[in-house]
Amino acid sequence: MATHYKKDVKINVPAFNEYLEAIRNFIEHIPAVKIMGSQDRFNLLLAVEEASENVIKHAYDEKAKGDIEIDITTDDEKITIIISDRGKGYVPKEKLDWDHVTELKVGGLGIYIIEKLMDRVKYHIDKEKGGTRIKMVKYFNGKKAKEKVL
Amino acid sequence: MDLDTKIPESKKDVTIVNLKGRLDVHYSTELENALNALIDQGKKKILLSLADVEYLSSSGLRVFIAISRRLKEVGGEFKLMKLNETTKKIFKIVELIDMFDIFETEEDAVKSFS
Repeated sequence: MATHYKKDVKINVPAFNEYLEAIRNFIEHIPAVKIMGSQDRFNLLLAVEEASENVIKHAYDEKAKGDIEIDITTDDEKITIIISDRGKGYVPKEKLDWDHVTELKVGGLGIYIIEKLMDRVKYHIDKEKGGTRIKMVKYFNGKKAKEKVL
Repeated sequence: MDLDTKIPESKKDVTIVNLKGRLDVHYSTELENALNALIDQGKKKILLSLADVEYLSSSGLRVFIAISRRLKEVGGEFKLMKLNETTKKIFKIVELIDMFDIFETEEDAVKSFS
């Protein structure tokens, strides 16, 4: 992979619905994402949107919206995307209960989808500074190494 | 939000809703309110067409589940039709295909209502 494909990228986007499409467009045009297979690219973009939606819906109070912080790092075998916020810190549901899916308040369905789409997913709540961090990894060769830490 | 709706000739108690664009967190809230308003007006047989849906997130899926449950509670029916490639992929990924009645054509979907 060419060197410029491995540049780290970081963006901060206001945590509002209206920015979701901009986030998707940005990620879609990162060189390493552009050369992924269409199914992997589709899955990655959907996971990023789900994680971003969770920040928009759960991280901040309505009157004190902050940013969605997105860090992207790429190496020869994988792309790693970290989506974090400086909000109140929400605990994602570990298991989805379909009978109560419409009552979930902390992104349970979104988290379920992210875990289906990505090869590794890790969550961290920063108790000192506040905020939730979701680290998601997609391997270029389809390697599966599920790691879910809540 | 104004829904693009039509009533099929063969079954006048069915309401077909043609969804368009991105069914993300923003649009989903408006859609849920609009569909609930339809049910409040007495429409108990709702068929959603997803042919023109460009993107569907968990927020959209949650609306389908919520509306489907509400209609069941009031003795109604909820069905989906014309899933395009994007929405098909998303339903497959989340393994939701079996949770809904999904049809390829409007004719088959309308016929399936009681």
